[in-house]
Amino acid sequence: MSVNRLPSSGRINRDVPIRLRFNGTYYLGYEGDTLASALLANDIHLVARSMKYARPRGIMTAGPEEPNAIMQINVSNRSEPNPKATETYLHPGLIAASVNAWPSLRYDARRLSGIAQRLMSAGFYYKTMFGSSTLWQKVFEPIIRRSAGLGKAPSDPDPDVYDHMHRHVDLMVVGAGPAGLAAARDAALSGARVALVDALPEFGGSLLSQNRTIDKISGMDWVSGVTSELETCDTALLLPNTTAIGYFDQNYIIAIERRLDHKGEASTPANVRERLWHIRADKVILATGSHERPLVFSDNDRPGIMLAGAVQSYVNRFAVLPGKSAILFANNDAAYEAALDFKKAGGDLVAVIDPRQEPQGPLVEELFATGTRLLSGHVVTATLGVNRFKGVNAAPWNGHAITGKEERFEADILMMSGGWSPAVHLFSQASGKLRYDAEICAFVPDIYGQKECSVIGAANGDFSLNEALRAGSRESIKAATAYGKPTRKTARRYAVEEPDTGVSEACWQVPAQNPADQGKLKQFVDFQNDTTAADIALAKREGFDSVEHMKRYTLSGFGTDQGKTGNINALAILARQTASSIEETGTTTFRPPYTPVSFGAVAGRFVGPLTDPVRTTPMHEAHVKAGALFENVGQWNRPWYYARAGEDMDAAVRRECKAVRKGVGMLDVSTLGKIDIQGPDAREFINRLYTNSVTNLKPGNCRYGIMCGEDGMVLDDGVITCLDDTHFVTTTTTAGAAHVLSHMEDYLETEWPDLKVYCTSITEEWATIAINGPKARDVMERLNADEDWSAKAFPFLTHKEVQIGGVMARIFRISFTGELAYEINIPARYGLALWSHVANVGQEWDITPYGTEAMHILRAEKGYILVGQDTDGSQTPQDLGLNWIVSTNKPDFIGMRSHARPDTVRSDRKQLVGLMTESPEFVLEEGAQIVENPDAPTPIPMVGHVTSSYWSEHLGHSIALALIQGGLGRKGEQLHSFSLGNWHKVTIVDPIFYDIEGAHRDG
Amino acid sequence: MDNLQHLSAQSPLYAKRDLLKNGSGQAVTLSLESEPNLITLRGDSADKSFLAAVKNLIGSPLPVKPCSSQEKGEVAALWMGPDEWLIIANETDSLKPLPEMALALAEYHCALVDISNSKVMLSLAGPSSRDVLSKGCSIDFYSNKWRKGHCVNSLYARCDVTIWQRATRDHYAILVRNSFSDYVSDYLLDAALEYNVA
Amino acid sequence: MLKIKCPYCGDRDETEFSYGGEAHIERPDSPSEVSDEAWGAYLFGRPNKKGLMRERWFHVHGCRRWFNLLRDTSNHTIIGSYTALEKPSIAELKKESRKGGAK
Repeated sequence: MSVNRLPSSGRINRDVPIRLRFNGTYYLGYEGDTLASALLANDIHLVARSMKYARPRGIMTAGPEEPNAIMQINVSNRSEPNPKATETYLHPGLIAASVNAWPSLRYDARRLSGIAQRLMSAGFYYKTMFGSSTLWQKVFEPIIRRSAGLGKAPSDPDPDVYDHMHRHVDLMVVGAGPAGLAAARDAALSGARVALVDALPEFGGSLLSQNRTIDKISGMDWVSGVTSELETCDTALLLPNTTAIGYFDQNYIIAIERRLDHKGEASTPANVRERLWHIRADKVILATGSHERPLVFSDNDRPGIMLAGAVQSYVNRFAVLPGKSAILFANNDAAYEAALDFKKAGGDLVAVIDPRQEPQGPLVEELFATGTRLLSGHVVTATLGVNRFKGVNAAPWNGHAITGKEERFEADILMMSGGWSPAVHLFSQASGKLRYDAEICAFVPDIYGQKECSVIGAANGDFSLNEALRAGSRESIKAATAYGKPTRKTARRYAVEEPDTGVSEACWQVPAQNPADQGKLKQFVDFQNDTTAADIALAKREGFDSVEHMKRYTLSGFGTDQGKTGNINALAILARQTASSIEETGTTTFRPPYTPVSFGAVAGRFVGPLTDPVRTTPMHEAHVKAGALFENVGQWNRPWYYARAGEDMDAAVRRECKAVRKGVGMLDVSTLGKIDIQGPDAREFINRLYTNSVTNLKPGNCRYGIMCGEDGMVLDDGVITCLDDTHFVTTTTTAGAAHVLSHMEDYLETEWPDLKVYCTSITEEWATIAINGPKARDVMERLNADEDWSAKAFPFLTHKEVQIGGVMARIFRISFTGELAYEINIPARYGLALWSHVANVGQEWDITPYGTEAMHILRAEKGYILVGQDTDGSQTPQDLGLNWIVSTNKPDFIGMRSHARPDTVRSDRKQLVGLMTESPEFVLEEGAQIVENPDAPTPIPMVGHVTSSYWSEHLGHSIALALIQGGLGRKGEQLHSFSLGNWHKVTIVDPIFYDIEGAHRDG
Repeated sequence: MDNLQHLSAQSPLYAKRDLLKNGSGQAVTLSLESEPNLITLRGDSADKSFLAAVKNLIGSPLPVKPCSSQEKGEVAALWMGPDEWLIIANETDSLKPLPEMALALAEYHCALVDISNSKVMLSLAGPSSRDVLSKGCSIDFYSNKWRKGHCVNSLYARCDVTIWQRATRDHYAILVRNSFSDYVSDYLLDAALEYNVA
Repeated sequence: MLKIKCPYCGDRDETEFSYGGEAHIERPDSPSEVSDEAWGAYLFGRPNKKGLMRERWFHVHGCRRWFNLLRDTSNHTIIGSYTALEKPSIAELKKESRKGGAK
């Protein structure tokens, strides 16, 4: 058996021994052990080096508040930085290593050099970075890089699987200690939906560590009884190993369930490692307990200095005596109980040092009766030992100053306790306000931020078990009455045996022997960030005297433990420095998460192929077969270009463009939004939405339209088709589809409810193929020989319903390339078959599927804008040279009034123009800035930027569209663009580069 | 010749047909329903005469209670919004052709839009269905509102879905737009793995 | 994440909704007759006040209805919701909310 393991008792399973490896050496522990309890059982106290000073550090706590024992945990193919040894449960194959020790834990180079000690006072980062940048880069950064941060981030993807689960409950109870169990009990029995979560693998909370009797049975027997009762309730969700990490508005709680780590099982999608619970509760009961706090005295950080309550946990819960002998330094009676438990378990209690002048109460009496030396009115002035605590010097004080001689005591460990702070984190996250309770020297819940929430037990500052159980039962009956069929009407009366813990007295800081910030002795406040009492004094001296400023200046409370142990000491010390009360000083803001949470759990299943929906069209399969490379447009996967063997992107795009200009090409435009607009007022509605008029748009006719926001800026564009007088179909851009429909519904529902119009999205109902090119008509004739496809019978900007392959299709004569074009809409289920059919019949003319890149070039050659590329929400139609499409006859349309605002009629607005580069081969960068005089002193005034830029194979030179101040009136002017590292001369031209007359439209 | 070739229809989940044919497991099964006819109907739910005319036309009454449905024979009507319903007809001939339906309702301000090609309908069944749904959706599936016929529009794995309870318990239809159907079915199949482990 | 009551569908998670800014800002009947100042105020002038605010929400992933919500912007307390064309008084909404009982 390990040297510090007690022969019996504890909540460990002695039938299942587990071997663990720590810093290369194997040790023995048991199932139910944490890494911390197993190490302490083997008398390992030194487990870490501190972040800034590289001081040796040991295990201080037994829970999530642990500041020191931070590990790198390796299990098979997983390496996880920074779990706390106090929260890591033993399982086979566990390999743990200290973080932040270099080159080894026992001999740390930084510690030997002492460089950090001398240089890195509070505010070091700020002072250094604003000082010499060379010194920073050459000297400090490398040192800090090596020492700062904790564990190593894994270099491989996380092999584990995580997921999310939503649940709604009537009552959510956080914490399954005595208060939480009592709170869940009657509510669950009443049939109400109850969720009970606890961070530990076993319910019981403080009863796991403290010996109590409830209703004449032991505390843990009582816990088992209540747990069994809860397990019989179908509507109760019991989640051990689950930490509530965030409490948000309207009783929304996020909890993380660790499902496998304690078992050491590998995760799979069928068996996830961690589950993030989204729990929405009608009522929330917080029974989150409390955290013990350290005392602030010189060199209070040596390995072997532990919180008294933690020692009590190790003794009672884990059957580990962390040392053979102990000294207690505490200002409260509860810690006396811990010391007595240590002694009862066979430990040698050397002395009790109590800063209170006259401690009294039954526990004090009990301790006195054991013959242990009790030094009241004393404090610890120094500690002995380097890698391991050896003893203390104690001296009398009067509450302010040392008043007598030091005396030395030696022991294996020091148990310290500065009292208990309610774990108010969740309460505060959800906007709860705290009040300082001088009697217990701690902040307690005061004003609730959420309706239907109550905090009970130690979390509410009620440290008595009796009070915790009574409050739990009272709240449980209330919930049972509200949500279920209560089995009883009044709160239960539990018969409890517990010691009277009397009154504690604040002892925020033991007087330092040397002036603040001098000498080697350090009084640590935040152990993880090496913040000392002297640092807080320094912060105050340098003007950072508000608590939030002090926190940021000293980093107190910034660690992965979020200052659970030390925060209250820090602000009490600050309060004394600023001569104000603790109440006035206040706390820093509590923010989620309560404990660190893995990125994997936040992502859940939204990783790998499930990262985000990938939307595909009915023709996707054909695109893949044809070798398409895809481009994401919103969530859509659209063919970007189809590379043939031996082709690079440029070659493929040139070939595709050429096919459309010379032969025929086909493009999948199914992703464009399509909206069905019906009703007697449909025409009026469209007139109000679009800038142009559809008053005279006859059935069977189409019209290009622009839509603006109320601010007059272009929102979207598309084609409006009149099917009949009360029935229209409009298209939208791919990315704008959802927004345009919402925009329409907004006006119909809120501004013009009198208009009789219904809008329905039909985007996914139709698959659409655009057939473009001089040979498009030949292809159409092959698709249906009975139809007259001539320009006369089926003119530009008209629509027909035609049978294709036995299916009724909607065909539109609209073109986004300037070539003869037909867009075939067919019910989506037939999309793939139609694509193959068109490709098949088009073979004769070498019909070429083309992608979005070729489409962009072809439209840019014609000067057609792409909303979202040539516009950014700050262009009016007039800015884009689209005056012709803005009606002046309509009384109103959305955006009309704004087109007359002083800002929109300015002549120096950025306006869309074409650009030609001096060197025809050079393709400008999209986004490149444009200036008038590149030799002007910097900053050179910028007059515009390139929005679209391509190589035009058909024209044999590059083309670009740009937004330029007053551009519409500057045709022919030469400007300069900084692109790809050089200045290039550019000339402003008309944005239509190809077929200005529109001669190709009809083939 | 070419134009005589008849185009054939294909479901967006065709590639997953085998995976979805026989369900996916013991505790939870996910399968693709035979493709029903879907019609979006818009109209005034306060107009009794309109409601009666529709009932006369489709056989099923229109539900006016939010998140509920009505079903008669092969035709069901789901509440989608205060003036919107989704009409689901399992047999092609259980409804008149759309133009005839529109004609029959010509005197009312209403709209009928065929969206049969827009969505797929998945069937999720088995004792763990509610947990599979809860992995991707924030709706309270354990609420006593969930009875046969209850339906909601919500998000599953961040995609728009309609979830419709088909039986007294543990059987749901999930309607999802074509382009999201591959992703949503992947997410559902993945969520079900936990419960289908032997 | 807020829990928002759609006047039609009931309580749903915030993820199902999109926000539409301050409610009851009336679009002038004849915008062309409105002065530049008044039009500018209509477009951009929003007090963004701290406290009770009537705001527009769209149940975009549910019933696709726009509606209004009375919310305290200082602490996210939601008093109540009502359909787009109503405007109940704050007292009425508070009364309605109390009737909802423990919910």
